[in-house]
Amino acid sequence: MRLWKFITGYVMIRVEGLSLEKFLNIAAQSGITVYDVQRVSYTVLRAVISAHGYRKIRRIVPEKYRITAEKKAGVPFGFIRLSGRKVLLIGLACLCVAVFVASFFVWDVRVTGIEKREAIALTKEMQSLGVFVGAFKGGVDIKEIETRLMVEHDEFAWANLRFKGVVAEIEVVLAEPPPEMVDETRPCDIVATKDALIESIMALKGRAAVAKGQTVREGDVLISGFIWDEGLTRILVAARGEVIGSVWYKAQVSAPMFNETRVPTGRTQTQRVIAIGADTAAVDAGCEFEEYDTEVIDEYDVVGLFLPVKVITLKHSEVKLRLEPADLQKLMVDLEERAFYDAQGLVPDNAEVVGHETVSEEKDGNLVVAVYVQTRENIGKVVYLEE
Amino acid sequence: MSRLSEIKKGIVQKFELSPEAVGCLRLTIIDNTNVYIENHRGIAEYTQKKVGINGDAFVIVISGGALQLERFGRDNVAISGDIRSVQYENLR
Repeated sequence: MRLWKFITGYVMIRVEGLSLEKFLNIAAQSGITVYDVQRVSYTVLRAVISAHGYRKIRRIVPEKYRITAEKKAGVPFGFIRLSGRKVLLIGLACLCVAVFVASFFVWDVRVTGIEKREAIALTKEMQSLGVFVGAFKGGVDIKEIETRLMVEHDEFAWANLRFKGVVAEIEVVLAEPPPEMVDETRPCDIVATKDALIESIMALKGRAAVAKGQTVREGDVLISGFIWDEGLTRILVAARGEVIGSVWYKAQVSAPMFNETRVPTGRTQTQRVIAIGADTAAVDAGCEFEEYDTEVIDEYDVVGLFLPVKVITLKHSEVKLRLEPADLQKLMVDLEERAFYDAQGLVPDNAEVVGHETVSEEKDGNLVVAVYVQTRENIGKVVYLEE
Repeated sequence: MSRLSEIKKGIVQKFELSPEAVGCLRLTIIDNTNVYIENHRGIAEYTQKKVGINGDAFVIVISGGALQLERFGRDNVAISGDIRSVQYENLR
């Protein structure tokens, strides 16, 4: 209600006279609603009425009531006040027109649903399709762009372009990669994709070339599509089947078995340097210690110069390096955790982790921990035979 | 009860209407801070301690402190303040 009063304009009035209740009744009967009425004294009343009501009430109320406007506020009165300031009004009008015109153009392009790097690449691609900062929104064929995105990007399951104010929003949903299509008519072998120990083999078509418990190397034929028995005809088939292998993924990390500590000897040396911005120049001789720690003990600006020049006093404390044995048990647990985490990162999504083993050794003062994660997974892939 | 009030009462009963539909006064009190009155017949008295609102057959007198007419229109009036009592006076 207050916002509406502000938009339509209102007048705070002061009414003086006897029998102010009658004044209120006259106003109400005339269809003028009076707000925030306060009886200041027996003969004085303050109230708020609309701009239209103010004009009307002055005509209808008897002369015995003295009505004075204490404050006129709201949009209409603001415009009346501004009407004398033509340049300001022209400026306001120009601003409104500029904002209106600007709303027809794209001011930002946002891509959601894909990684940041890919989103940047798509934003660049969208420029060639006519969606860029500064593009006229009316000239963008949304349907066509969505169709082109879907056609040109197999990895997109769905693409949606919409304008939210002055922002062009492209929402992308990535598609699940389709399974590898195998040509059933072409003769092929099933070969190993990685080194493994055969856990099980089930040849649906073709002849099993390996047996359970056998180790295979990457590229070894597991199920052969070339069947030939002595005295019989050679047959070429499209080998099919599932070969489950036990695969080990190794990750190794190391850390020194000794921690280096810096023990102060008690010898110190001070040195002053002049610093200009990030550059420094020594005033005193350099530090004579072989190993030392440095701290700033004093710093003051050289006043009166335009450049930010400072004189800094440094304190060099001589230290001796001492090697102390690390807590091996804690170090071992820490390294094993890191190695296990790294090894798990190597395991493909479709593999089943069945166990892991840890091997550690000391080497050149370092503790080396290797974790082998064992998985069960399908290790076969189709390799077509040359005709 | 006046003749007019009797007629109104008869209409309301006959046609099963809401009483305020035939101009009966409707009073809504919220806590002791706000009173809304619809279908009033004008204001009889207004000070910061007392507000009298005319009905057809009576005057509703609201007493309290710092009373203010938040809104006073042709059909309804909203009163706010520290309300102590609401009374019917001059019942005819």
